[in-house]
Amino acid sequence: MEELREILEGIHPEVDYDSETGLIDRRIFDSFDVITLVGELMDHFDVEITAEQMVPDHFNSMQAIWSLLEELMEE
Amino acid sequence: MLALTVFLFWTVNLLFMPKYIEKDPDGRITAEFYREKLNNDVIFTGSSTVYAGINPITLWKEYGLTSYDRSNSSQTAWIAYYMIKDAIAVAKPKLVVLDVGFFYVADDYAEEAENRKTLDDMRIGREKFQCMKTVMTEDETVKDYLFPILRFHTRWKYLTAEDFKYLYYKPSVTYNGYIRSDLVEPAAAEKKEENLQDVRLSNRNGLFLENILQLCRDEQIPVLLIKTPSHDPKWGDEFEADLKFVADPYGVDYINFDDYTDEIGLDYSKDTPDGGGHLNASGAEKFSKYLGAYLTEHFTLTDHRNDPAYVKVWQEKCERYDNGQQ
Amino acid sequence: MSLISIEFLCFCLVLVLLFYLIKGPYQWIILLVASIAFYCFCGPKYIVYILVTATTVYFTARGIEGFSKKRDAYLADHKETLGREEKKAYKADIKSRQKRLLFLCILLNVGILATLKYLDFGIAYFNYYRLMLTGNTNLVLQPMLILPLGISFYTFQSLGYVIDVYYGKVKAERQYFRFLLFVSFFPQIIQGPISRFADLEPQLFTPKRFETERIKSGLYRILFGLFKKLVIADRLSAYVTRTAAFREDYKGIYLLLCIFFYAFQIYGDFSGGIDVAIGTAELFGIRLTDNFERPFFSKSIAEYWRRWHITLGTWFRDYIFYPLSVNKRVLNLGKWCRSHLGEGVGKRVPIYLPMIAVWALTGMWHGSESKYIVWGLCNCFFLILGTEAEPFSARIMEKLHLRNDMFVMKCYRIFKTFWLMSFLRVFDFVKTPRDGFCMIRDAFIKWDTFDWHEVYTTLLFPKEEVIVAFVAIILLTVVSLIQRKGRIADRLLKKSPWIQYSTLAAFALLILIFGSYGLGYDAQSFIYMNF
Repeated sequence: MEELREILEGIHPEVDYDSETGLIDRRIFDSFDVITLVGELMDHFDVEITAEQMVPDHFNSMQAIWSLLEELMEE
Repeated sequence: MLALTVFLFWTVNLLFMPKYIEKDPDGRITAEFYREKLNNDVIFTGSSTVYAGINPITLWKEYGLTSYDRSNSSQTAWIAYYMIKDAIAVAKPKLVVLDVGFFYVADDYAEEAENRKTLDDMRIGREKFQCMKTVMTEDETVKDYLFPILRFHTRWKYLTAEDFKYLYYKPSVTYNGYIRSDLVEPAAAEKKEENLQDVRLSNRNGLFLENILQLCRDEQIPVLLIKTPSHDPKWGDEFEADLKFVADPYGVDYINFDDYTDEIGLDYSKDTPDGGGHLNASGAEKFSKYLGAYLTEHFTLTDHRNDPAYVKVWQEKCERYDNGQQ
Repeated sequence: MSLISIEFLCFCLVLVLLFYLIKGPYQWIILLVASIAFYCFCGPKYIVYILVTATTVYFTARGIEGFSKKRDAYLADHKETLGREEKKAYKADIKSRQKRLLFLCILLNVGILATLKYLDFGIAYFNYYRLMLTGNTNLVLQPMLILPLGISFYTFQSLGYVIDVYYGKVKAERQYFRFLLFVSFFPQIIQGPISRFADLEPQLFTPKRFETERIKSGLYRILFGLFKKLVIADRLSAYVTRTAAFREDYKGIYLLLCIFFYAFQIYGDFSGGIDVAIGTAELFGIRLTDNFERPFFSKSIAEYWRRWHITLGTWFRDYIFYPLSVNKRVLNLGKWCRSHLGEGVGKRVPIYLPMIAVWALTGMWHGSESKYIVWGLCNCFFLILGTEAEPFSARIMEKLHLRNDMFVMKCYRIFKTFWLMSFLRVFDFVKTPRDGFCMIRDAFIKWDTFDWHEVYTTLLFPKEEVIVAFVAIILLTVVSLIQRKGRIADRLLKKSPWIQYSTLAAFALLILIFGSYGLGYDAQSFIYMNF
């Protein structure tokens, strides 16, 4: 989780990731940021994120991203 | 709210429609026809030569005839047919005098401006729709006639005080359809040659002439075909023969009043506002007197000058006419 | 039948009456019949194309879902007997079959779209270059294909659906006719918005009761759309068309004015049409996705493209950009670049490469001529430039003690974005890319005195028209500013009936009087209609 926080802060340092639940919906992350994030996640956690998983619900909060990662790492 | 909407829409419609009060009063002829309180025994139809050349006021003063110039600029045979039909629907006349001066135009002749002047004020009814369908140009649509604002809205740039002044109430500007001109522009010295020597009565003109004659026969109204005196048009004998060919089976006479210029006493150096195309006030006076004499002689028409109801109405008309001259 | 016509208004009136007279569960049938009828009014021949798309997509979606069901059933049946690897292999096998099916369906439908859209131009180019290069004067005949109404929009909408089914985001529609309604829903068929199945489908089939509020709010939207289209766009188009046609004859400021007017012409035209579509759908209790969010107030190009033609942008993002960015080959290329060309390049490749592809496609989507691709790539270039220059401009701002949230800065950025986008849009209305570049250049160098009188006389654009155009643009801007606080319709509905009524009446009269329609004005068909 801390590793994830570091990645997120690398993209948008000004966001409070503990409380923010609308990273996509409130347009804090644009499609650019999402792709940067996905690239970093794949590198760091050695998971494969496919187009199927590219839905706002999976990226709206740090918690959501973490759940997605856990799910992917299980496979 | 619905009432308000209708009122608003109606007002805006009126505002944008051309008024024809200060200019082009011929646009008011159709509207003013419906204001007539008493029947008119004689209905004149035809193009502008009629509303410039036949003065119902003179006909009343001289012969006690009640009449209306149900004419329009460039009134074609097909428009005339519907004007007569509409006039009959309003009140059956005792005589229809049909000026055929414009029956030489091509079968596809249609002018939007004239259509609008003729149709915009026509009362809503079967005649209006039939007339629209028959006379519209290719680009015109029925909805433009039902909601004139759709056509006239671009006039927002050209609205003048006239448009607001005569928004709801429009005073009468014609005298039973007659539009007086006091201009004088002499015709060229030598008598104009026949400018439509070779013209023949075309299919559509012939068809609608026949339609009119048939309609009047069905309604048992006598008809007279005339050509009001004018240097334009002048057609040859063949056209005359064509007209007679159609009219004869109906027992209807045709008189070309150009042949009676001297008897009428017309002087084309004084009696025309535009070099012979139309008659001016003095020309119309002379012609109306002559025509009135002919009509009373050949048709059974009532002299209403002893009927108080008519006298009252026509007195007003005469006063307005006489005041208008000053 | 155009959306901007009395006929369409009457069509809707009759439909609304029928729609609310009929029992809820059958209401959608009215919409389907209306949609088919509407499409037939516009050209009955072309209904074949939309039926082919609807049918192939419908069966592909069913097929894909069939495979998934088969897989689930198989896995459930053989839970104990299958090993982990076997399960994985089975899943991969099913997935590849689904993929093949999906691929075929996309190929067919994109093929139809591309053929109709680009074949004529392709042949024209081929003839031209063969003539230039080999001197061969034989011409290959152009079939002169006509685009079926709204083909780009319904193709995209259908493909979005089938891809969503493939991803498992939505369930495949079982009833063919219900799906046909989703594809052909008449308010949006001509020019969008491009709806998502998950958004639209539930709305189409929920029974609705008559509500005055809904009708009113739909009417507001329709009227505002008509205002934008008839009063602004169609009025300005006279000026723009003329200036573009005689580009060489005009000096700097005229071209600048033309560019300014074109911004509002295309916005009025497109967003006005969308407003009519959304308003119409609202009459039937269906809320379509918004396609515009006051785009001229954007502070950057990236933001502008999130607020202009939103549904197309998100479509490209979700179905082209994301899949490309997370595609293994692109990622591997990125990795390769990272190790060979450095961290910076490696990081950018997986983002910029798909972006360039998306923008080339967006350009092509707008039209088949080369100028559209130039336009798309220029957009892409400025987007990338904006991203790359951000650290740099941030440093300058810090030195000048400026912050992005200052009012002056906001205004400056809005101004900058508006004009940049307006200049790019020049490619839209000139004939060739070269003309576009020349026009932009001339707008700056041929600067000379500006004389309104000359504008009226040389452009046949009377003074009164110019004044009405500007007043209308100001009115549009004011409404946009009010919109910031929420949907105009919702705000109006809270006001007293008289205010509601006056607004409605005022707009109706404005359109009636100042709209450019009727004889003498050729109320042009929508700019976006055949896209």
